[in-house]
Amino acid sequence: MKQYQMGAIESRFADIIWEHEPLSSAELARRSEELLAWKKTTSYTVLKRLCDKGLFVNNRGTVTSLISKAQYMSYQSEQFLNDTFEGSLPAFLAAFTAGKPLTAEEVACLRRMVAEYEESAQ
Amino acid sequence: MSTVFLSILEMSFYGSVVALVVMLMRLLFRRAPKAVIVAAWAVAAVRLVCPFALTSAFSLMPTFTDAQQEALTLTLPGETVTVPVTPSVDHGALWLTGLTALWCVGVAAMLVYTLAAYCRTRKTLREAVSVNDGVYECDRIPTPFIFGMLRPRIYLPSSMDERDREYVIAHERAHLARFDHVWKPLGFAVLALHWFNPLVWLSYVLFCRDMETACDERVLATLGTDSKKPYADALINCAAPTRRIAACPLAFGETDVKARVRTVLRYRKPALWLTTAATLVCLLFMMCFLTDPKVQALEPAPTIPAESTTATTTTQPQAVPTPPAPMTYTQKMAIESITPRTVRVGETVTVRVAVEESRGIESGIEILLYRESEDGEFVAVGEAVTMTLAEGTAANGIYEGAITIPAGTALGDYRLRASYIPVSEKPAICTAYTPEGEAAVTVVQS
Repeated sequence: MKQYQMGAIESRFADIIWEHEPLSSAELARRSEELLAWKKTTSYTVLKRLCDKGLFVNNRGTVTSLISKAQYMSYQSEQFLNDTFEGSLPAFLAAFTAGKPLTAEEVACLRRMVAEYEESAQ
Repeated sequence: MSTVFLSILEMSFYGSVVALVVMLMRLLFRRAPKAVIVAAWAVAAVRLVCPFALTSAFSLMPTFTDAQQEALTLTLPGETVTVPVTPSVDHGALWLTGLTALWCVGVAAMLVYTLAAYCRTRKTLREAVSVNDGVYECDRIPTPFIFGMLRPRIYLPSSMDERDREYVIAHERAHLARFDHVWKPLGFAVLALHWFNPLVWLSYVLFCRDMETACDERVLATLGTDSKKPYADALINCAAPTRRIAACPLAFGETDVKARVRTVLRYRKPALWLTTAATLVCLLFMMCFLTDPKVQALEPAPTIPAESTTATTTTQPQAVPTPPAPMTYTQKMAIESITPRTVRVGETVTVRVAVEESRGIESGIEILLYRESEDGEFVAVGEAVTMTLAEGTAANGIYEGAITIPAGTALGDYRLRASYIPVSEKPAICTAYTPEGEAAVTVVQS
């Protein structure tokens, strides 16, 4: 699972695919050139690397994702929690709120999420 | 190519001397602005690659004199022999070629390594994305650095802390302002030529460190001492886990971080007197070590004897004085009288020989009575007899000698030969030579 880790720039490239998939590799190269000023060969190199990592697939010139962005983000959060707070969400929240307190809206949102979770668990 | 290698060796020696002085200066003047030390390193680099130098009276460079020797030619009657002065000259040439080849291999290895590192970095940096004018971000680089000599760009790791960015960029811009992206590769080129010299390696490492420190000082001078703590933090955050010597990337965290952090935290804007004094010392240093001492060429040795000759310093670009002409001399010999021409067995033949010999050697003349037999053999009568100087000098005089015909000598015609006693002294060329005197003598019945 660790292999999914992407750098900040690779993430921007991945965003192009997630936002516009399915798209041809040529179009991906064009958009990368627009956004990142990358050469075509660079796009293809990075695409191949991400495909090898199992995130995307290049099926005869058409690029699609194997993992949605939401799934990827959730994986990233899990990794972060494991690496920094030994997997403990409460510990993370405590650390997060130590810096600045939660707003009323955030509390309401959290309450709603917990309620929904309990409902679906039953 | 061998001459190039030899001159590299020579420059390596002189350059090492200067490098040692710079190292001494570094230790003594720790509080001086590091930019001055970097200039001193430049002097050492010049000495390592430049075979020529102006002369001045202030020079402190050591010099050597070397004697020149050339092959001497010895002409003997009937044959010419050339005597090389260094008998093992063939071995020497072989060694030189071997070492030159080895040196070339070393230089090539260094250049290949650099080229490989350059290509690898360029490939990685294709994925960089522009952030600002001249500043780029890249995922896959461990530390910030500058890449490119003609159009240098600053590259930052994308995972770098936002707060450190300001200081890192300031540091790299200071490098660019000082043209460090040119000096560092040039320094590496000098190192490549002198790869065999550990002092040059040490000098390069210290030079890189001093360049970074000079850069740190410049940044802090611009930003102010309030920036010391956050700047030191940025330094620690960006420190590379491994230390490698690379020519092209000017990495922010490449060199010894601990020492730099310490220097940064202790930084104080140097007093004007210190800066001025340091600059003056540096100028003095340059005068002493960028120039060579004035040397007078010694008098060429007289043509006799022919061995040790003129000495010149190797650093003077003037042409070497032509080697003195080989020693020459003239010889003239003539048999003045043989008494009697017809001699009986048991009697004595007295011979007088007139000699003119420009060297005035006193090895002397000897006379021999001999005949040539039917089968071409030389048969001598007794031993050769050494003549004695009767009149005049060895240079211009008359020698006298006597041969007694021993009993049992065959009768008949003989020849009396007068010749110089062979001399095993300094060889020379005889320019005028008249053959040994010879005359007929008849031995008759006593």
